[in-house]
Amino acid sequence: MANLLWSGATAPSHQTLTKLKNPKKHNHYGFKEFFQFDATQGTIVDWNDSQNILTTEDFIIGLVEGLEEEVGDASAATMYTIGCEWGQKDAFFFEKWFEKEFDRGIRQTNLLFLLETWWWPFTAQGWGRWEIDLGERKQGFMFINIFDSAVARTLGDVGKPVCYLYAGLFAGFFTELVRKQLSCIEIQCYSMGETYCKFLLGGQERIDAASFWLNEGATARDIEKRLKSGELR
Amino acid sequence: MISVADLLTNDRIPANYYANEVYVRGDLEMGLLESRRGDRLLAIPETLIQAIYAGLTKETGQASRLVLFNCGRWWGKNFFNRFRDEVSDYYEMPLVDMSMAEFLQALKQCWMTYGLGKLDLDQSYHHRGFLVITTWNSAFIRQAPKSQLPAGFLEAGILSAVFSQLAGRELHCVQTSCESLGSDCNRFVIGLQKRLDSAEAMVEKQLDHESIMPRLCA
Amino acid sequence: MQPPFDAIFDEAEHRYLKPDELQEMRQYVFSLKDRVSTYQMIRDRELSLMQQVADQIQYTMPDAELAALERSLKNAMLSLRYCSMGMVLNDPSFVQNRLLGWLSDSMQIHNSSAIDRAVFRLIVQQLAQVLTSQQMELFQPFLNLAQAVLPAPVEEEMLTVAGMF
Repeated sequence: MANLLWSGATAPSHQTLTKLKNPKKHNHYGFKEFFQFDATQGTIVDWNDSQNILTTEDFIIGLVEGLEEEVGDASAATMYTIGCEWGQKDAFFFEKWFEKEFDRGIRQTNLLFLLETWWWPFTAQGWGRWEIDLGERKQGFMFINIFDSAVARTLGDVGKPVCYLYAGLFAGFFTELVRKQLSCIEIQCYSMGETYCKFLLGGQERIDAASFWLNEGATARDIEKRLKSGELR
Repeated sequence: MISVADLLTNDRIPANYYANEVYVRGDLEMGLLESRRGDRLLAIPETLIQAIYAGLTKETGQASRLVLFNCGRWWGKNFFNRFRDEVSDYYEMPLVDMSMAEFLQALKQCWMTYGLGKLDLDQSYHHRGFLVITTWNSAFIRQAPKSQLPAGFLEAGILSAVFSQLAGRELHCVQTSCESLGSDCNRFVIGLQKRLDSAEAMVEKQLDHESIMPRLCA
Repeated sequence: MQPPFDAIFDEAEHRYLKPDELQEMRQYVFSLKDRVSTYQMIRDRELSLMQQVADQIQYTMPDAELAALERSLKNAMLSLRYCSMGMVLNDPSFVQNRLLGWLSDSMQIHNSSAIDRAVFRLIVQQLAQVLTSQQMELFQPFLNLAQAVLPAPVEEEMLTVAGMF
């Protein structure tokens, strides 16, 4: 994304031979194609011209630890806020690169294809695979599964959901996409000993209800059942 | 007499452990990135970096600098431990036995392969108890919100942790020039906290690196 | 694999290869036998060839520090290995990405350009003796890549006012 704040040297862009010859190649998510390393400048630029840095999982722990030192228990809320900002910024970024690559607007595109396309860069960037269940969207909510969450895998089994960054990311992205205020909560997490993480996305009312049930000890399956039967607390 | 065969280590000539084509591996099917040792890696794109700034400012205001510095310190500590293990395994030599030149070369390559930009060491203030690290092309600095002050808090945290571990004593780090303020590079001064306090005050007063260093060493 | 080929393969879903692209591929495949035999020759002669270079460099630079000589010889051996592999793949970017940045950094840090230049000169002489001219033609472009990053020789003599004119 162009950076308007920094006046120094121009930001790097992705200029591999493959992209120059075939800029609209769609299956470019293999590691070697998606990232361009510049070994003289020490920069990594992805297919969509965004500069990336690589970190180990310690970066996420460091962020959480650094926050806990400053804001204590509010660190979870802050990670969620960072996620929301990320999702929102990424929605704008995505809209631009999608239109450039596919020559059509995001609102004129099959939803499932659109969402799959959105997640591909995250897969290439090591944020894990996802699965999205749009079955209940007419009722105003949906579920997203994340396999190998970078946050949960890092923090290990701590007995509670920890993936606030992902929850924020989904809330922020989908709020921009559907232009309606949406929230997201993680209702099942690798850090609770589960094999994957499950997120519920919907209006605030539903998220509040799910949060209440979760505190009462409900499982993701319970929550799913209650929501599908139209229950709101 | 030099015996060429003896220059080889198990028929190997250790060179650049951090060559990016070899160091980073991607598994698209699993959505995972990992290092050549199998440690999980994450690519942090610009939108997330911008979001970290925006989110931290929203939730913690001015404290966001400290949070980033502390995050850098935490990350830096683990970054150094991994670096030490990787390098000493690869060269079959403990890090403490490596020459400064070799250490620096490996660190520079590692820094670049992680996409943190270029890094160099300026030892001209070494005899006065300070090391100056210069860096270029930092994504965190490029994306930082506009400010009158240097913006490399995360890097300052990382570098303070790395050199503290290396020196075996607690060291602090203050950034004295910044690409975001039009400087040719980012300069980070590393030394004992009590000797760097005045540098921090001078940075606040917007003195440049060339004015700060002589005063710091006076 | 030569990078332009990657791009050719990318377009498989769009079209068949054009005659000139096929010709390019044919040429590469045709040259592969020679590339591999050149590679084998360098591999098999590595130690004896480099030992000759080591003996000669010690003779021509008797005052050089042993550690500096050893480092330059190691870097040279490394270059030989990477350049040979680059030649088999016919991919300059292989040498570029994996070797050159590291090599030039090492040479700068250790300020070893005088020795490095001498070592490379000796290697070329030695190679000329074991490779045929055709093999040398295949290998030379890759060795040139490594030689190109050797820092320019520093003017050893200190310029003084007396020496100005």
